[in-house]
Amino acid sequence: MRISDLAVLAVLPAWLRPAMAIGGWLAIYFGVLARRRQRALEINALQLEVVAHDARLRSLESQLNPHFLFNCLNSVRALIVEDPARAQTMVTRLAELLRYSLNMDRAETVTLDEELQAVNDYLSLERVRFEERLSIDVAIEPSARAAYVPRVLVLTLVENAMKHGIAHLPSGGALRISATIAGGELHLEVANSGSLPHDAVGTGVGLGNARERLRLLYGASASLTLTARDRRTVVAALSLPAKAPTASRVSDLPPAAAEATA
Amino acid sequence: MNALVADDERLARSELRRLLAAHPDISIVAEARNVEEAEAGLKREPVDLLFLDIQMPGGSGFDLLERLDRMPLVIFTTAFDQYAIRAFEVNALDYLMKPVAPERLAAALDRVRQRAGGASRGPLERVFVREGERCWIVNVADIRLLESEGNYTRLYFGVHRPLILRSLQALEARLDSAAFFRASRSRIINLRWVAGVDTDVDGGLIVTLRDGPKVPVSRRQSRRLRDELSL
Repeated sequence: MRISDLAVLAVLPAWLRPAMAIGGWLAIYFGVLARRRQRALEINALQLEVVAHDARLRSLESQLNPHFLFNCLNSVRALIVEDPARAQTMVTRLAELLRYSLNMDRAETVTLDEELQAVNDYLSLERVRFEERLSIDVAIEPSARAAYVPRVLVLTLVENAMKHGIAHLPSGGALRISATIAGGELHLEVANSGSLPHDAVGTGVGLGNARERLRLLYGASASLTLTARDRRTVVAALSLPAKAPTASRVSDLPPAAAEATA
Repeated sequence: MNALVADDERLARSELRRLLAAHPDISIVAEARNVEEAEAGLKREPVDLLFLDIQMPGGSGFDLLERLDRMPLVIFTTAFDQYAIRAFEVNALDYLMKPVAPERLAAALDRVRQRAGGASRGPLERVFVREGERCWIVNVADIRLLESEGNYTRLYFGVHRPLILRSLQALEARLDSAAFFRASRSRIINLRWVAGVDTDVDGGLIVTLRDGPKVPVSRRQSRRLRDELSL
């Protein structure tokens, strides 16, 4: 407060001075409170942005996972002689998958339908490599396709199931993706043949990041668990509100907050 | 030369088969989809050359090599493995990156042909050693000393001294007796690495190996060593 403001107070009648002072303090108090809330919102949005970027990078790493990528290219090289049409399809699928992973600027959440297209591209590539060693079953309730999920999150779950589960089994295994809607919530499961390792790879970076993203996007109303259904099946279960979360990106915040972070 | 191709992906195996068609002196006598099949194939067929994928379900290529009594020449085939690079710290065996470039395959086969001594049933030529994160395929001729440590044997080669899970006795039976000499109950030395021989106060010999160490020879074996080296 400047001296001139105090000078104004001095010319006011005596009875008005305490009221003005109280009013002033209240204004400052609520101002600070509002700013704090605004800052909390900004911080949350920024954290989200960081975690989402991290998730995309990780997804990139796993699709650009050199082991996956070079094995794919090796399969393509073999198919060019054996089955040229299939080789062409494989190149297209790989291009689609890489585009989906490389596209960093798109929305934080996508419809399950959109995400499942990328999952499908990925699995069709793995099917070429694994052949009869991989059986896939997808059971999605039609209404679930319109639900929103964090981008590449389901893809990450499926990649984990392949990498830590089926890839280790000499005679291969089965992968099942299912989704239902109940009480405004999406329930999605990725089940794969295999067992949880003793050192619990499942609690590793991939899922840790996914959980952090869910926390920032949905708070306590989303969950992700990895459990052994029985001795031969591992299940990743995801639950979240079917609607797209609000304020999921800095650009979705009220103008003041977006300005402050610019 | 008889080759075995071990890779869990059928397309990868057929791709390699196609590439090898340009090299008529190499014939693929067996294929394997995992470590068990590879091990069985190696027992069944006289294999000189093993094309070995590193990441396979149920066990890695390294797990296979560790199990083998007799190791053929090995060319690792890998999509991308930092392990493969690490594996070649000491020895000079080859690895190919998938997709395999025909020229790289030709170069690797040239080196293999130079090294191949046929599928001899003679003494042990190479041994696979893994210790922690590191592994070697060691030419037995480069080993200067083998030292017993219970069920394990410590191998001395270069600056390395890793342990392998084989008894000294089991190894001795497989070694070239013209080169390797039992110095005492717990040590076998490679005579080609002997730099000097001294006499101990009690009449036994002490052998100094090139690059060390000094190895005391038991009294009974000292007599035999004198004859052997015609001292």
